[in-house]
Amino acid sequence: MKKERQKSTLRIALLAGSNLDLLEKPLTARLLEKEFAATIWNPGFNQYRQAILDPSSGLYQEKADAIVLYLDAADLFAGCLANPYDHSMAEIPAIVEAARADVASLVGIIAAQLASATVFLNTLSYADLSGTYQGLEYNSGFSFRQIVVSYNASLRELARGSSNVVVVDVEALVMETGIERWYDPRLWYLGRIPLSAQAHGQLASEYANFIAARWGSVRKCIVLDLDNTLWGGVIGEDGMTGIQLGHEGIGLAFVDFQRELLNLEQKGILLAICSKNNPEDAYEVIRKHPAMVLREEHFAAVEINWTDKAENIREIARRLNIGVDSLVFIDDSPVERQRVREAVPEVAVPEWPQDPCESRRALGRVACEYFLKFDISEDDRRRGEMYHAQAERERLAESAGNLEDFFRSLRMKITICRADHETLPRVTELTLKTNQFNLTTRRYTESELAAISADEGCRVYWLKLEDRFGPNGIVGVLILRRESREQWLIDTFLLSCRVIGRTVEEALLGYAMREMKELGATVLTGEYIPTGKNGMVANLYGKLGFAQTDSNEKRTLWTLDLNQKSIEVPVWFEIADRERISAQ
Amino acid sequence: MNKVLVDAVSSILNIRPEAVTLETSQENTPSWDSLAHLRLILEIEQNLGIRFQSRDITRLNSVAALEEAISNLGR
Repeated sequence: MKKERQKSTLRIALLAGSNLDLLEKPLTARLLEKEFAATIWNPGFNQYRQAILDPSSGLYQEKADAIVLYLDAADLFAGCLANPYDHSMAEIPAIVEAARADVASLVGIIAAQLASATVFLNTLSYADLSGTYQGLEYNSGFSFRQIVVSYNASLRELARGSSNVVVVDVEALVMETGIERWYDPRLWYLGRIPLSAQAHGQLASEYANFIAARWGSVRKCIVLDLDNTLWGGVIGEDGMTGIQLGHEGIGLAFVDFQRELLNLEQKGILLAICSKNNPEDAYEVIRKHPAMVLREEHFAAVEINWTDKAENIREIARRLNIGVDSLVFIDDSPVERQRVREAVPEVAVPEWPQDPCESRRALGRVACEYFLKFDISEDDRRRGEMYHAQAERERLAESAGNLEDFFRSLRMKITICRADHETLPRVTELTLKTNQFNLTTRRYTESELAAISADEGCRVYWLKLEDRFGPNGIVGVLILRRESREQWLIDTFLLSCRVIGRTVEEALLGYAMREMKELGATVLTGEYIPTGKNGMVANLYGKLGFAQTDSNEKRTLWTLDLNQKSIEVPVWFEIADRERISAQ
Repeated sequence: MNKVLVDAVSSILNIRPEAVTLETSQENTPSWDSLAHLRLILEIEQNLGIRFQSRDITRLNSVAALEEAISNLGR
């Protein structure tokens, strides 16, 4: 069953020093599994340089979105490979720098013509180099490995230095697969195809994961079973001392698995529990078992009861305010997995190893497939904590007499600023990932947003929210475009789901309104583009006092006459950092 | 004919399974180009768990030749 997620077609350019034709089919297939339709432009064997240098090449004609520039050691260091003993260690930095500069300049040429495209570079593996060097490496003044190692290290700077480069660690894939299975010399000599059939499959999955993640398709939460998943045995039968968890034998496999989950939690992935158990038994382990790595505060939502798991999973999504298609469900029981697959097909349910020794590795594969990230923001580090605080807010809301009392009691403090170099990554992440409170669902890459925020006729605002339970981080984005001196258009207006229902939208728009007036604006136009997920904001502009001016299936348009009506920041917000804002 | 072979020829070369015969060859099948040939070989190898030698790969350019090579490998 297919999800109703709409995505436009991605144009991919496949540029390589060797023949990568066999990658086309598996790559489009893997992307389609992730609901990305893709077309591939491939100029063929060793045409990458011409394709990049020729301004009329298909690369630019097709306006590629993603460019896979796949080069291996034989493409970049052919001379050194042909005459391995002709260079000394002292010459290696210059040899590597020449290759790095060459690749950087090719990337620069692409970026100059395709500002919003992403170039995927790869690490080299040492593996395709001859065994005849064995013994010399590390023991003599000769080294080829040093070339590969320094080149790979230089890619890090390239990726960190420009927002349109992403590095795919192909060397790690080669290590995982093994040299003998990665390369197929028969295909090389018969068709100049260096890689084996298996390697093409793995490479396709890896690039599909990276491309999908770059275009915002990343899940948000792992829902975990307890018995025989987080620990060995059944707590209701085996008891605290009977379950396997700790440094003895197999117990260590569960500790290691939990450690890996904790790493994901610190990367900003939410953890939740969905278990059929007596809550008191399970909580006793979570709170008191000395070997538990994960504790109550690491779980954003917990459902421990005897209800059907599919129902509990829907409840978890509802409480976290995320779609069920943001969840991955891990359970050792094939019956439960099947039940969830059938009842909630949007949830990703990976096969799970029977043997707990394999769990940690299986989780690594899940992380690559669903939770790939290219950076960790401050927000990511605190996400779990923030969701935990959300539960306390909900308890407060239940006890407050009326809504206004509740808003006041939250003691909300907002900061609104224009996006800059530091905040662009988070702003980008929000435009890519926000589905529900998102008026237009325009997805922007970081380089596109950098261009928009540098444009005089545009304003990119972000909003940060703090309340009595702690910080929420950057949770709102508003992008305005000047249509004419008097008229501005709301290009993007979104809020993270964790702050919905707290009048934050009024604060953000009200604040921007002040600046608009100072700039001489008199009319503000708002647009609502329905996506199937953002129904909650269909009438937002109407509620805020805009008048509807146009409506069809694809969008509705609204305008607000700033001379007649204005939107104010609600009185229960404290506005922080005034100086910094007015200084901008 | 070997069913795995027929399925591979049919799916890689875009021919209906009924139309695949011992006479089907690279010569009389336009979609059977050199890349499709390698693809076909890899598909058969993977599905039967066998591995051809490079000198055989270039020779096996008809269904009849493939059928014989597969049975020689005991599959």
